Amino acid sequence: MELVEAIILAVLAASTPLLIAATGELVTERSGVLNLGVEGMMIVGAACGFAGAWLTGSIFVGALFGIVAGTLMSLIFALMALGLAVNQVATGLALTILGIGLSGLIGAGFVGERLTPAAHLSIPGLTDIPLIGRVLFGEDAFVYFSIALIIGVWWFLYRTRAGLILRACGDNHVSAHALGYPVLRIRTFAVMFGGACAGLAGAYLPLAYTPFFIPGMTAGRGWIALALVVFSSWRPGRLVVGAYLFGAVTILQLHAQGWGVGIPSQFMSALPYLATVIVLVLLSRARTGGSTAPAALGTVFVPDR
Amino acid sequence: MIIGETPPPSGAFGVDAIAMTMRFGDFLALDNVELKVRPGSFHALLGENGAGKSTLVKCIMGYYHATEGDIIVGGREQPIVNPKDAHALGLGMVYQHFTLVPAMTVAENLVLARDDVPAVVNWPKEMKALEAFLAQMPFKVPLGAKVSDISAGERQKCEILKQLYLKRRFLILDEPTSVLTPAEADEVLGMLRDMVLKGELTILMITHKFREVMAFADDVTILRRGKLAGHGKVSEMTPDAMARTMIGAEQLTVQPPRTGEAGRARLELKQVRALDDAGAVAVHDVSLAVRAGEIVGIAGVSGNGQRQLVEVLAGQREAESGEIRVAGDPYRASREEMRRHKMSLLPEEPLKNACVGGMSVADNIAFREFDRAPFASGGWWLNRSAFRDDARKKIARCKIKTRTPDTPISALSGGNIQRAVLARELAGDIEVLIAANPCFGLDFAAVAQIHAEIMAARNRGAAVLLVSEDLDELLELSDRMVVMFHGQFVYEARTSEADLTVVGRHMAGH
Repeated sequence: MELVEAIILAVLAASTPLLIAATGELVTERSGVLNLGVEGMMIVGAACGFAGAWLTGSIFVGALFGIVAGTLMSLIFALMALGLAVNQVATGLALTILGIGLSGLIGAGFVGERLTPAAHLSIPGLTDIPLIGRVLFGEDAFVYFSIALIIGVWWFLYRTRAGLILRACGDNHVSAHALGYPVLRIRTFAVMFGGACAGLAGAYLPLAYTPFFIPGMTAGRGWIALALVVFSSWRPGRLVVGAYLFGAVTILQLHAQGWGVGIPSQFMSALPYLATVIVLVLLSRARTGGSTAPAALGTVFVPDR
Repeated sequence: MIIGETPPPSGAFGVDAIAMTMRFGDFLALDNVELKVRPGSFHALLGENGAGKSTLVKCIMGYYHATEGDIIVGGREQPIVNPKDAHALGLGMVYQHFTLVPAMTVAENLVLARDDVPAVVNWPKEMKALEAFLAQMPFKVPLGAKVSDISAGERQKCEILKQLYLKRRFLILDEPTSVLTPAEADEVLGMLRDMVLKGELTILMITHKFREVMAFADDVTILRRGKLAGHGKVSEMTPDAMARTMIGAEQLTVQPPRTGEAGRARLELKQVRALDDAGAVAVHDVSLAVRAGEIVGIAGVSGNGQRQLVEVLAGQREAESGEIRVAGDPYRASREEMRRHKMSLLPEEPLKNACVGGMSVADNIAFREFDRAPFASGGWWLNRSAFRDDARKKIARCKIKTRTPDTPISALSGGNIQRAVLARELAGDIEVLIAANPCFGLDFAAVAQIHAEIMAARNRGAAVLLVSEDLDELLELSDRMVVMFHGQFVYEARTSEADLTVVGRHMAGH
């Protein structure tokens, strides 16, 4: 029992940064922009988040630092890929490389420092319920926020006018433009939202997951988040399932090593990507008319006026 | 709407464009053109490709700012700076290319187009309002269906409904029927005509089709090379007079008379089956023989497997089963076989299916022969100047309007791209010709030229398979017609004996 609870808690903790970063990227991609710089924005978010929390002693301020850092990084992307219509793939990759370097620079002074990690919720009575108590009522604020975030994004995309317009930009930017919507401005906001989420997801790592900063601590989570968006076929509901599945695989990988299971850890690390490839194959085999990706994803849009 | 501004009056209103001049750099696209659309009238705007029709309506809609000239809407001069201004005045435009978002439902597309939707969309309420709106409309569309799943005809209706839903009372239609069957076109235009007669709408329609002008329009304005060539009441004009005004001194290619008898079967299809992109059966075990010196027309509403059949013949799609023979030999659509059997191909959407957009006009014209003498030595060393010389000749002969032979072919207009493909495909002897909607969206002169070339190829003994969504074209050219419905040939007749109502019934699947 204890072990099951511990595993569920570990899965939730490992899934949360994936869920937050992937939620942001989902919105970005739904607007038609492919930002491959998630890893870079996350790691800068991690470094700045740690710096903020360490300097002020507040986890909340640290999280804000992470969000602002991620947003600023995404603005570089928006300037290049949207403002100057540079190739999105190249810009995104460059952003990741920049982010890795930048985070090392920012975080250099903080390596080896420790923080008190984010507090966990504690409701007397409820939190003590065996098995589900700590899972439901004993998480840190990031976990609850990530769930609220994805529900909010679902609601935004399918129930609000702005969400409708954003999806229109992602599926047919020519139509959206012809209807008089400012495609580039909408996409810039979507990219900024993606950056804010990536920054927060990055900040989660040193603020709650492991309470210290080490260079390169995102360890490919940004790439998994990108894979997750494809895995979810751009739908918020499937994204939640995918995030917890991918989180579980990560934990499984750690435990498998601990239990001495004879599976190479490299294979386990590759599982999320393998799962994405399989889902892509299944999606394209399905006779629903091919891909469900936003039709304008990754395409450059230059307004004619 | 801004408070204090007078609300637009209800009912139809007119639009006048006075002394419109539009310069793009040195190029004079419009030269002192005048267009007067009376309130509550159905006005046709005729002209060849590049005559300035699109430029004129884009000036009216605020996409372009005319160098000189005024727009008068409902009797008042209006500064239209951008499309939003035009929309606020009640002007709406239906584009030649669809502007619906394919991944969304019809209802989502309609709501998307409005700019007064509350921030949080109350879908049950919106659906109710949409249904109430549709109930008053002459044509119906399935609100819950995804746009990608509905037919071209329904999409066009959605585009028009969208404008009406936005309470636009002056509609500009840019070749609205180019994707519709004649029956669908008549239905849509007939319903719009009824609304015009009731005084609810004014319509300005850009078109090439004289039949539609004669049947539906009250007035017509004809442009030629950026100038006003003529205008007047349709009832006082004949199609011939309009065509002459449109083309000016330019001579239309005269179609040669049908001569010669059909020979032996040259293109044979036996039980050919092909799938569409989603993996469903699109071509259902069809068999057909086209004889030398014969044009066989395949009629049908778009989306009944014609495209997949042509793609199989062109080698763009693998047949699932069945056999194709050309002059008795098995045919696998290789370049070598096409050359041996002197086959030519005019696929639809030539820029997509028959050209490489980024490559030059000369290169595109050379695709069939580029690795043969005189274009290449030893099959691999290309002689660029031979490409260019040959292209220059063909550009002159086929009247392709291009700045140089080295211009990327994607920079040319639709008609000129099709001419370049014609120049390549119809250059030598032809024994088998496969053409799919070869005149789609082209002007009068280009259509006449293509029809003449096809008839001439037939008279020289070619077996011609003509797939077309334009019944008039099939009736004019083909010796024999088959109707394709749901991937099968459901009707066959000699064209001279074909009964139009029977053909129409089979096209609709009855």
